[in-house]
Formats: sequence, C-alpha cells, structure tokens
Amino acid sequence: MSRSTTPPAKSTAQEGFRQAMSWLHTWSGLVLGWLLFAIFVTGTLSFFKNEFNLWMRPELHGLPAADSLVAQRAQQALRAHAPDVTQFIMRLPDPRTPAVTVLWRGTGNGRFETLMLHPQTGAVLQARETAGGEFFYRFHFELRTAHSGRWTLQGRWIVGVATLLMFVALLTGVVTHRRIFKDFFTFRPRKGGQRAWLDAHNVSGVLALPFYLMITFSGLMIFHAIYMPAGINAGYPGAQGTDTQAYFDELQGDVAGARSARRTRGGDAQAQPLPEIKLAPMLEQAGHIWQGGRVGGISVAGSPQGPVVEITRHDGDRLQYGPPRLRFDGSTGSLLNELNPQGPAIKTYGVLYGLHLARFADTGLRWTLFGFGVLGSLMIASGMVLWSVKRRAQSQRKAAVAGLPFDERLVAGLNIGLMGGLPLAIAAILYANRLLPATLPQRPDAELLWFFSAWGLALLVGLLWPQRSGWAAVLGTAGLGFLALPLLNALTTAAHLGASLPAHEWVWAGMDLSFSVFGLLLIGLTRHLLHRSAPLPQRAARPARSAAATPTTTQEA
Amino acid sequence: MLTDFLLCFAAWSALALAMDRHYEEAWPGSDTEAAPIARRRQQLALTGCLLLTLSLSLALTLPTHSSRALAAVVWVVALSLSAVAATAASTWMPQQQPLLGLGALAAGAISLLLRALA
Repeated sequence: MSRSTTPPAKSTAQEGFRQAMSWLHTWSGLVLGWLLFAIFVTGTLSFFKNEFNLWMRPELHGLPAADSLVAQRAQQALRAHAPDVTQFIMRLPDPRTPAVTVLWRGTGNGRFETLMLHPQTGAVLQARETAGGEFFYRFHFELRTAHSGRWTLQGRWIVGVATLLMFVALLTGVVTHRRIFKDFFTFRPRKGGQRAWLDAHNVSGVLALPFYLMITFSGLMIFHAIYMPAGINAGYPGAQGTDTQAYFDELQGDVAGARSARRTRGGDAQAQPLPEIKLAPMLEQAGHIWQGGRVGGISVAGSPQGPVVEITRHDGDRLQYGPPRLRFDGSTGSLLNELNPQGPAIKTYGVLYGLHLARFADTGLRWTLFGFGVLGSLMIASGMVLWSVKRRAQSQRKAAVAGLPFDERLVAGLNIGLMGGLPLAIAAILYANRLLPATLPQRPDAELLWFFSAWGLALLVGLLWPQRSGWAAVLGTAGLGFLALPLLNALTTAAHLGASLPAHEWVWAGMDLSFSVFGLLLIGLTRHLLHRSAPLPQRAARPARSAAATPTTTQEA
Repeated sequence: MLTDFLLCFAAWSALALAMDRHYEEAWPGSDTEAAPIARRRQQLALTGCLLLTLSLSLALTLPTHSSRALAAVVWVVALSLSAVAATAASTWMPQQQPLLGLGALAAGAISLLLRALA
C-alpha cells in the first residue's frame, strides 16, 4: 500500500465502479422509465387534487365560505336526509374544498355513501359523477384503470418496483453523471443534440435532487406494510396469522379494541341509529386545546357504551401527517382521550408521509413543489430521449447512413406515445368531464375510457411515425386541446373565466388560466419541433463531439 | 420563503461565478487562471458557502412558520428553487449575474430588516 502505487489502482477501480453504476443507471431508468414518467406526472397533478376535484364538478361553483355553525347544520341535514345513519365521517370545508363532504352509512347494506352539503344552508348538493382529481391521485400509486378500483394491490406492487428503480436510478445517477457538481449551473440549449439533452438531464436532475430523493423514498415508505410485511408479522401475532389492525391502531396512537369512530370494514349489523350529538361544545373544547388550530373533520360512530365522537385537526396544520385527534363521549360530551402519537418511529413515518402529501403547503409552496414535480418529469423524459440520441450518435459514427434499427425505432415510438401522449390523455379526460352527458350511467368509467383511448391513440401515432413529426402531431394536438379548454368550459358551464375572474375566484380561474398557459407552452414546443426539423440531417452529419470536451474547447465552439 | 430564496440566490450566484466557465461568461476576456482572479474566485466560493450557512441558520432561528421543522422544509425548497433561478441566470443572462446576485443579497437584507422591525 505504498503511495506511488495506490492512486492509479484506485482510479481504475473507481472507473470500473462508475461504469457499473452507469449500466445500472441506464437500465433501471429505461426499463420502467415510461411508467415512472406517468407516475411522476400524475403524482405532480395530485398536488392540486382538491382543485381538480372542484373543477370537474362545476355544479359546486359559487359556494360561500362556511361559518362556525357548519358542523351542526351539516349534521342536521344528514339526519334529515338519512334518519337511520349509524356512522358518519364529515370533512369540513376549507378554501380549497368549499362543500361539506360526508361519508355515511345506515342500517341498510352497511356500505358507505357520499353526500355533499352546502356549507351555509346544509342543502344536499347534486354534482355530476366524475372520476375527478382522485383519478390522477389513484393512478399515481396503484395505476387505477377503473373507477371502482380493480387490481389495486397489483398496481401498488408495480408502482413499488418502479419507485425502487427510481431510487436506484437517482443514487446511481449521482455517480454516473460525475460532472453534475462541476456543471452545476451549466445548461447549453443552443449547442443542440446530445450535449443539450445531457445538460438538460443533469441540470433538471441535480437542482431539485432533495425533492426527488424525498418523494421517492417517502413514496416507498408509505406502503411499507405491503412491501415489507415481515416486521409486522413478527411483532403483531394474532389468532389467525398477523393482527395488522393492532399495528395500525398503534401507529395511530391507539390501543386495539378501543372505542373508536374510525372507518371499519363490513359494519356492525346491530348498529343503532345515532342520536343527535351536541357538537358545538366539543368543537369549542377542541379550539381551546389546539389554540385556534383548524378542525379538519368529525367522525361519529356508535359503540356499546354509546356514541363516540372524534374531532380531527386539519391536516394542513403541521408537517407530520396523521393529525391529532380528540375523542369525546357522544352522550355526555366529556373528553375521553387525546390521540397524538409522538414516538420516534411514528414521528419519522408521519413526517415522511407528510412531506410526500404536502398538505402543509400554502399556495406558493404548493406551486413550487408542483414545479419540482414538472422538473422531475422533464428529468425522466430527457433521460429517455438521451438514450435514443446517444445510440443514434454512436451508430452514426460506425456507419454514415443507416436506417433506424428496430430497438431505437421502438424506444422513439414509445417515447412519443407514452410520454408525449400523456398530456393528450389528460386533456381528453378533462374534455370528457365537460362533454359527456351528466346522467350517463358509469360516467367516471366513460371518462377513464377517453383518457386511455387518447393515450392509446398517441401510442399508435408514435409507433407509426417515430420522428419529430410524430412528436409534433401528439404535442400539438394536446396543446390546442389545453388552449381551448377554457373556451369549452365557458360554453358548457357557468364556472368560466368570465365569471371567476371578476369575482376573484382564484381556485376556479387558476385552473382555466393554467390550462391555457400549458397549452401555449405545448404549442410553442410544437412550433420549435417543426422549425428545427429542416437542418437536422446537417447536424447529424457533423462528427459527434466528445462528451468529455474540456471547458476551454467548448468556450471556443 | 422570500428571504430564504433571496439569500440562497445570492449564494448560488457567488458559487456559480466562482467557477471559471461562468466567471468568464460574466466578465468576458478575463484570464480565470491568473493569480488575482483565481483568488477572487476563491473568495466568491467562500462567500457562497457562508451565505448558504447564514441563510439556513437565519431560517431556523427566526422562523416565520408554525414550526422549526416546517421552516427547514421551506428553506430546502427555497434552496432548490433559487438554484434553478441561478442556473437560468447563468444560461440566459450571464453578464447580469453579478448584479442579480448583489441585488438579491440587498433585497434579502432589506426583507430581514423589515421582519426585525415588524
């Protein structure tokens, strides 16, 4: 281990390591890259899940803000609507969700039903059936293909594998693109070709790296019980195998079998209809204990000792997910216990969960995180395109004129269809939401059909024309679609820009404006693709520049 | 968020200018390996690191958010966002980057002062 011999040996070993990591980075990225792109894009949209839910139910436009009596009034309205209610979970309105949403079940079939109520009158609100923003949210973690939810467990496993590969690709990417710190601020779009794509991939990868690491790792951790059940199996033995319920009860700060107003499977056949509960004193006590913190929801369920009421704090009030709960005796109104577990493992899990969902984020922070999601999608997309561009450059170095080989043709086509087609599919589901008849049976599934059909159509276009013209056709159509969305909205609903802008309803106007801006961006991109298509052969004929060009030579170029 | 962003942007600008490529783009024709400029670049790198440390400690000691944990998260978000902004400045307006960095530093100091007075 003398000083003179160690350095060269070490550098060879380092080079070998980098090569190995490079292989791992390329293939872990490529194999599920299209899926990762779809997960990243739909997950990014989920930051605005509530806003999509609202926009896709234009009947809810114009609801006033709630006042302090909203919970009591909603309970009365629910009891008038369903006198036999045995359990209900009520989400109180906030600026992002103006209606009261109630999940309830009665003595009938024991299934939960959803009810939306006016925040001030308590009147039952009728809105169109829609997949809503929930679809993007569900798709991003279980690849949902039907509104009722099928193959959700399989979907979660596939997403889990993809997420693990994403994590591998992120870590190996830091090793592979060894110049990311030297080229930290370097983006040279005018250089074109492989150089520009590599810059785009490196810059979009490194600048928001903390966000990508956080979102990927926390995404894996959220479903730890599915992916890594062994620890729970060992720690929570039950009469029949594993008592998973005991584990989750403890995770939420409870003991198994406690009186609870939580949502349980199946329902209780002997459940009695609930009496009217005096919610006001409990809400007052909650406000006192949480020192003015917002109330997120109220759950009420029967138990052998009488009804139990749980008041949950708003989940936007802190970083850690799993907001504190206060449990009251429904008949006497006395506080039974306060549930707010703070053990190290529970807190770590809650903070990771909270970071992933970003319920804590205000509008500015939410938009920034959305921007990081877009940047991450671009990182994946540029990595996929880079694979093609690099291969093309390598094969052209070997043979001057060569047709696109099958694998490159396939990857190029899949890039267009699966990545370029996704904005088109998103536009399609938004069009379906406005154009399908409001009374259509299984309307959410019809919306999903539009989504997947548009995606499939784009895939066909991509496989048939795996060139710039294919990209331009798919992205251009999506761009026009998004640009025209506010117009369609104005033609079919009363919740359009002409109404929402003068009234400063930014949740509504923000959606329409964002669609237009996104449409303009896509059209700009399409124009760019069409204009740049002419000098392409000349560029390709140029000898490929080495990626390891020194800064001085690139300066001269 | 704004103070974090401004101070981090100033820090990233200093760190970018400490690199020979961006230094030469900001001040075209300068010999980045010459002793006085190499020293200046070293000072810029040091300033950048100090500013990053300073902005983090300010974010944690003068929290504007409900908890210190949230303040740290907001700082990391501002760190990434300002890095994107500094890269954009390096790409599209390299000659204005020194001025933008100084401007952000001044604006950050003013916003700190306003917070102290309020």
